Amino acid sequence: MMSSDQQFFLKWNDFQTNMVTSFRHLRDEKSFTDVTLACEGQTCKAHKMVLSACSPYFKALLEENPSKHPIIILKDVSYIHLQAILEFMYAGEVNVSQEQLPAFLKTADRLKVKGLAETPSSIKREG
Amino acid sequence: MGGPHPPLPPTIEGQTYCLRWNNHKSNLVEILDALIKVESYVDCTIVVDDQVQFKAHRVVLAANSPYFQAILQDVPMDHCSIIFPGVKEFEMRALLDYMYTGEVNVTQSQIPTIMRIAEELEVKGLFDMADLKEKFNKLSEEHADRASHGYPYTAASTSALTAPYAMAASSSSAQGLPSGVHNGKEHHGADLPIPSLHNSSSVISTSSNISPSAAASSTSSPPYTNYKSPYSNLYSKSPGPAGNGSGVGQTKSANAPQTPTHSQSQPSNQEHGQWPLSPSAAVSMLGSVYDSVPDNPLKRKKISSMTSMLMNRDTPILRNVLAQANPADSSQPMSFSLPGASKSDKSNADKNSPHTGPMGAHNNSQGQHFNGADYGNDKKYHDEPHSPYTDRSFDDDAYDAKGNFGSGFSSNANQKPEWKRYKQYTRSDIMSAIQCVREGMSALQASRKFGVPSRTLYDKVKKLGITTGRPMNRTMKRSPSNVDSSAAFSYPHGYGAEPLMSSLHEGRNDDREPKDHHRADHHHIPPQLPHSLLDHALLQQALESRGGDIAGRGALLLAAAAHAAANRISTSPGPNGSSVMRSPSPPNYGRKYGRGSEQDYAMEPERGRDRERERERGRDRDVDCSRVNERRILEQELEHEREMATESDREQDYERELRDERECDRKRLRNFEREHERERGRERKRVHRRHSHDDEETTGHVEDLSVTRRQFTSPEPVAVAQRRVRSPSYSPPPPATQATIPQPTAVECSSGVIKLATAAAVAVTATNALNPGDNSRCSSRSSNGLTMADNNSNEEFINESGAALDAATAMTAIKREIISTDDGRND
Repeated sequence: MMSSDQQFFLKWNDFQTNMVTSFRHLRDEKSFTDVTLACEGQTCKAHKMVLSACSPYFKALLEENPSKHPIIILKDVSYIHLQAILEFMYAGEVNVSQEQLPAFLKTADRLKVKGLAETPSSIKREG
Repeated sequence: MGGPHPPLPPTIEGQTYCLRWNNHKSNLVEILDALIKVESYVDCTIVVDDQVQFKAHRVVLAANSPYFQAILQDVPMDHCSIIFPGVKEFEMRALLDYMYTGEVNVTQSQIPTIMRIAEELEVKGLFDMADLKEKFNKLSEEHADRASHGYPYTAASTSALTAPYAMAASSSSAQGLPSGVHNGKEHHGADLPIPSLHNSSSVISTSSNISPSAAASSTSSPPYTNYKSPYSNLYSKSPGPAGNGSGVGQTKSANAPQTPTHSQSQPSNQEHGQWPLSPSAAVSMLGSVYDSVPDNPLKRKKISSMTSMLMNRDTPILRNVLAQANPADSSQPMSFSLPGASKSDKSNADKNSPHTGPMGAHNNSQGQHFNGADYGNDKKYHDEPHSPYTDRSFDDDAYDAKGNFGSGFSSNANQKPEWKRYKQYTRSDIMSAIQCVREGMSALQASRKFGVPSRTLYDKVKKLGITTGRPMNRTMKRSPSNVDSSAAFSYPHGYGAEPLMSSLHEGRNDDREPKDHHRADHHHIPPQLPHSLLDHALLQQALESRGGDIAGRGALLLAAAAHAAANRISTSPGPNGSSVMRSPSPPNYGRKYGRGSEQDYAMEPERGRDRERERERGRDRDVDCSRVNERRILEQELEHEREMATESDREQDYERELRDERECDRKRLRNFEREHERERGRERKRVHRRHSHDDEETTGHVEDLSVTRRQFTSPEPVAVAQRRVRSPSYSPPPPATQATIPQPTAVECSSGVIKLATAAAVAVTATNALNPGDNSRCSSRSSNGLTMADNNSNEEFINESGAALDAATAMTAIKREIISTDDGRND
């Protein structure tokens, strides 16, 4: 017997796909971007929310500087790697050539990108 | 001071005024610095590590860094924060100080990191200086252990941080941009700064036909000059201060009394409206204009002087104007200057109103003086009255120009070439030159060697009491009228002397050229003509600059002598260009110089030539008048040649040897010619029974004269007495009775060339002396003898090169003149 206040589990199976697609779309259109990342003289725009969600580093940074549209100038970050990291943040996957991989991972580690950087906690947990 | 300024036709358009505040840039910098200190109008926050925040103006950031410019352009927000993780406080502080003031003091240990940040941020003047960074890195490595604040490299680092932005700008443009995410970004790389050419000439007047942005760029304020892409549109839409300034200038130009200085005959009109061109462009324009005029030395000289002037425009003229107007403070805003005013210096002068010329132009020209290397040297020009005929340097010019322009030019010009206002040598030059003179070098050589005007050198040497080996010094104080002319007579060898020298040089190989010069020296010029035109020193200088081409000298000497003889005798036009010289003849004027400096003709061949030239001024005298003087003149010539014979100059000796060699050849030719002449004479005998005495005797007579002439030892007493008595002023011709054929005594004559001339002269003298008694005979003799000489000369002309050209021509002229004259008289 099922109770009357039985709740239904509604799940959009394509939610994640849709979110990924939408974020990508928004990023491509630069819609609602509210942060500018700059490195090597070039900039790319992003969403604070995505950055904060994907990186404790950005989260802390953006929390510390509540600005409508902050500009974050990243030192010692390759623009290519920044692009790749953003791609990874928005899509969850990215293609990186093998020779770029160590530098990319290093950069990702600096920026504490979830999924790429090994956080001390995760290391501890795994260990 | 600058040349007189011609009145400007009121209809000329395009007259613009440059309104310029000299303190503008510094004011801007100071204000920005003050604003950032109180954090007024800040519109962005830079956050670095440890949550340190810096307020800043986005415009300043963008101005100092293309990186910031690119970022901030796309982020048009009220207030943006720039988060800069990983950057220390001191680094950002140093960079901001640098960006606001252009300089910053840092310690040596900070330099590498600061440079790294600067590189990251593309701060102009600091980034992309790889070598500099390497240097610093190396230094920091080498001296890491003893790095201290007092270390010398601290200072070096400071200076490095104030490096000109131009380097950064150019390198950033070279860097380019990869295709970015943003569309608007691509063209930044292309539009990135290339150091503006306008910056090279900081004084470019704003004129109305220049777009405001261009005008802004011409003021060479660093940042915006180069950033065309973002701002140029903005500027052109809403005129900036520069545009307003030019507008005001237009208004003022309508009212301004100091109107301008245009001469319609000058090409400078053409670029007047576009004066704010770069100086080199203007030069090229002027040069092209002048190039269209057929080659002539004056033009060349003018061009060079104009070029020099324009090239010197680097220094702010307006500042000088301001300095003139307000000596106390050159930084006062708003002063008007005429962009074209300085051109009046080189544009044609209006001698009618030299002093009423526009004040602006006046000042401008003086500004040039201030910019000149030696202001003191210019003073004499400032002090000089502006009467057209006291303008010495003009005289100088006129002398140079007349060969080509004739008298027509003299009415045209009262301007003074600018190059004369500048001392082209340094103190060390003159000192070295003096030292050389002291050590025995001739003053002229020394002056040549060190590029010092010889007159100046003479003056100095004279003052120091150094005696030079050459008698040239005496020319300095020879006659009072020469003194002031010496002021204008300075040939900076590097500059204006070049055209003169080249023109003279051409003259050596061109048989017409000497005559042109003679024309320039013609004594029939009006008496009020400036003395320096007739100055011996000037002539001498000109001749000296020819260098030591002996053949040329000999030829010139001969030509001059021959001309002198021919022109005094002739009444009818000669066939070989001598007719050019014929003109109605006022009384002799140049002669007095010839006489006055007679004793100074010590034995220099150049001087001899000078005298010959001087004498030629008297060449157009009527026969009846000149007859009286001819003997005296010829005597002087002989005498002069005698003097030359005793000349012990080594050069002269060499010359003599050469001439002797030539004389041998000439003798041979003459003998050959004589044979011919005899044959011809026999034929002639049949025709002209009158002259049938004997050709052999005639030729023999001439030959005798020629030979005996060679044996003179000492000047004839009478002639010497005459010469001594002569004073600078004109002395009346000696009585005709005094003139006799010079008695042959015993001396070795110097050169064959001279001998030829002497032969002619003696023959003429003989003619004159014997004319009253035996017309027919004399006529016959002289004509025959001179025909001979002429033929010889012609042979020489064929065999020798241009050196004998003058001689040949002159001899031909002599012959024909004498024949015609004598025939005319006798018939």
